[in-house]
Amino acid sequence: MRHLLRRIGFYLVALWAALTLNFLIPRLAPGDPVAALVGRFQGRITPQALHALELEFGDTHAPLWIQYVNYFDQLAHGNLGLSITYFPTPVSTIIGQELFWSLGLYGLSIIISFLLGSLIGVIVAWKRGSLRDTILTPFLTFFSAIPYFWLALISLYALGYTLNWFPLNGGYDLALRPSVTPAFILSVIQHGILPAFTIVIASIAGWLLGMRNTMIPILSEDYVLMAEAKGLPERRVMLSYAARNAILPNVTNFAMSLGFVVGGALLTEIVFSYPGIGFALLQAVQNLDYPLIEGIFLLIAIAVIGANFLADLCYTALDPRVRVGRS
Amino acid sequence: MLFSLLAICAVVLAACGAGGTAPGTSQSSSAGNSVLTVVPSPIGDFTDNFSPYAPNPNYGSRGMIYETLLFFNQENGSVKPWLAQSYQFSSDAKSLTFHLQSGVKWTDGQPFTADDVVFTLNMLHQYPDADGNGLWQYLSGVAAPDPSTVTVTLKTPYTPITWYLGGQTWIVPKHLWSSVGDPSKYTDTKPVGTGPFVLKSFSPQLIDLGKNPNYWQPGKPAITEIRYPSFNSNTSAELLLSRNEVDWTGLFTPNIEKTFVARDPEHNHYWFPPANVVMLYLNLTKSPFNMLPVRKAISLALDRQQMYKVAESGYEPVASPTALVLPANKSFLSPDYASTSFNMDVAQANQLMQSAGFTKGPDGIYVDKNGKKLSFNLNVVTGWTDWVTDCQIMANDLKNIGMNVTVNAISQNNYVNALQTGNYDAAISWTNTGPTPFFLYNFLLNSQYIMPPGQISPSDWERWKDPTTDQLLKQYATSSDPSVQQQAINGLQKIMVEQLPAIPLVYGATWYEYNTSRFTGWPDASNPYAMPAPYAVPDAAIVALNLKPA
Repeated sequence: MRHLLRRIGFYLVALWAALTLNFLIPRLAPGDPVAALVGRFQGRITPQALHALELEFGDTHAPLWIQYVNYFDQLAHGNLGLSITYFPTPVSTIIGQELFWSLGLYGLSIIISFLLGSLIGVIVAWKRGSLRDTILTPFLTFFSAIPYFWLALISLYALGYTLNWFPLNGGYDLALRPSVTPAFILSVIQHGILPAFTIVIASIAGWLLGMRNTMIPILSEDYVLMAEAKGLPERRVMLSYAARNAILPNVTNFAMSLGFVVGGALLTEIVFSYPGIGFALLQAVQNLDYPLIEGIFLLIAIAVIGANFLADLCYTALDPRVRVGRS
Repeated sequence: MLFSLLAICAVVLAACGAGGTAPGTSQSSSAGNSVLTVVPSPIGDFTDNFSPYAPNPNYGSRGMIYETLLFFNQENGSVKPWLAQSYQFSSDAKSLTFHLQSGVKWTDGQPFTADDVVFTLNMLHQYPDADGNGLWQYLSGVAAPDPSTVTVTLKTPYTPITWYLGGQTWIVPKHLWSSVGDPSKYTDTKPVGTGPFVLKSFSPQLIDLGKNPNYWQPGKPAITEIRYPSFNSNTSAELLLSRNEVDWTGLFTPNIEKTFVARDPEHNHYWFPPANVVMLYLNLTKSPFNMLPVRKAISLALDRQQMYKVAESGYEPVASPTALVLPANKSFLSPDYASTSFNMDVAQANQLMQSAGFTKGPDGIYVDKNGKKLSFNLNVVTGWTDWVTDCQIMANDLKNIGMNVTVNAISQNNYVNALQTGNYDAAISWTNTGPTPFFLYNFLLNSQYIMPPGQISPSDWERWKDPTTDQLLKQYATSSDPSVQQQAINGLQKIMVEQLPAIPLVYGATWYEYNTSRFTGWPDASNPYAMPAPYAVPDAAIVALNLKPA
């Protein structure tokens, strides 16, 4: 119990540090949101408009510590402020309208990638050195090594444009209205296949290699040999004995990756014009939109710290040695 | 085994969906249903706010839904009546009267009257952060002597106000907006305007406008629906464009003849009319840029043809030394400069440098009288690849006349900040324009915008401070007599050509691609009835009103 409280305390301190950095870093960049808008509009904004916007975006020239106190005060009230890029839409609205897409596409892709990668990793580790291992492992590693945006562009062009197998853009067919109907859901799945496919292909090797490399030393352990000698079926030994032990490091990595899902997959969103938080974050940074940057980073910080914490708990549940060691 | 199962699933799903029906194309011209699909610019998802006074208004808000009093065609400088059927200045240019159209109704059925105009202008007075055009710097009052007349009084004569007041102020309904407070903070989700289109539906990925059945111009618009899908990048938009699934875009596309026109030469068209002048800004507060011979030498050394053909892919022709946007401003061209153009003469440039007191050092770089080498930074935004290439070409050219130039590619914020605070040596940048050349000259040369070093100067970034220039600008602004105004423009052209306050390079292009298979009536070089880019306001609405199903 004391141990648990200590862990929670540590994570709270980490959260506070993350929030402070979250506040400081965008403000270290020179310029301000109004200057950013000038660059964006390139000649379609008059000097008078600049002055008007200065008045609009208000207190970005107040002393730093006042802004800091205001920032925490607003956070405590759950007020993430108004976005500057999408003024006067609240930051929470923007995050709300994009978060679902990021969680859906990116979250599902990571889960699929993890499951597939780990499963294949187990199989090729069990049959290490075989033909399957020799071909599959380098083949899938090759796709991870390709720069992701290039992979995405080629997939879009070849599979979407030339072969016309998949739609070229968007999260759903724009002829439909967002609603919980079978047609809409089918449309979402259809539009999500190609982006998800590229994410899975690009990241699968990571899980595969991680699993394989953890499994191989385990396979030479005595208890595995004992299990085989006892006459247990091959699948049972592979999964319940070896894989179960090998999966532990991968679970930690997986939890961390899940934390980053709320940051969105920027390159995917750009290439496929898929809705999501990554692009909103890019816009926010380019426009020095402090409230939106802070809102999204807050979400990422909480998600990553939360995921870490869950991974901690998960580890304690999965590995009895940790449980015993701790008490 | 699992993998192959998944692969099979994917192919089956794809086949039952994609095969044949290209998604997002329910824009068949079936039974009087003509849908225009527009991609002005890939700015990502939309937010639900159609207030024309928001800092970043949504597509459709300005022009399609909310309208202006007049329409200024920046392609030829003409003015067309719009919500105001006529206007005139008093003889002392201190009072401006608009006579409004009759029979105009708001989309909720209420009649449009002078009260709405008066209310809109007073609203901008009450909330200066919404007054993006700075109208109330010049206005002193506004009144409605009768329901179809609006009289505006000015503090000092200022005729350019008609562009801002008549062409770029969006009239909103008094009966709905009087309780709204600050219009720039108002989230207008159910817009009521006088314009040809109304908001049919909104989602963050799609803005859908429908035809206004009671629009005040009879028989218009001919199209029934306009859709703005959201895009995060040019990639998919360009692919859809080349498949004819999008009608109208404002994208920069490399190699457009091959990637777009060649696919369907009969229907795929583009036109990139010059929109503003891209210039080399030299910080005139720094030596040696304050020396005219040095500026002349720099201008003579630049290979503008290479910038036009190579860096700008042949899309942005070499600019005129007068800084007029041609051919749009050709009616303002001074007869003295009718055929003046830039030429490249490295020998003469070197001569000018030497006569200005510079001597070439052993490394080929000029050294001034105090022995200081002539070297400086040239700022550009990193990622704006065509301008970066322009700067590299310029740095190379300037090396030929003994200048050591370093191209400094920085973030957009730093770049704008440097220009505004005067904390730079040289930079490449755009210029603001308007329906007449006055607006470009005013933005570029009016010394009233210069702030002390370190403070933000909203324009006149090169810090040109010349009483003759200011006098000419004032002459234009205080007269409503076109011949007096033309005299002033001629004087400003002379200053631009002879004194080079900034150095024009190439034109900034208007990006405009369109497809004539579903709609006709598009603006082009032979019929420049509006600025053709889908992001130009209110010009985009003018174009939409002129389109007819093919």
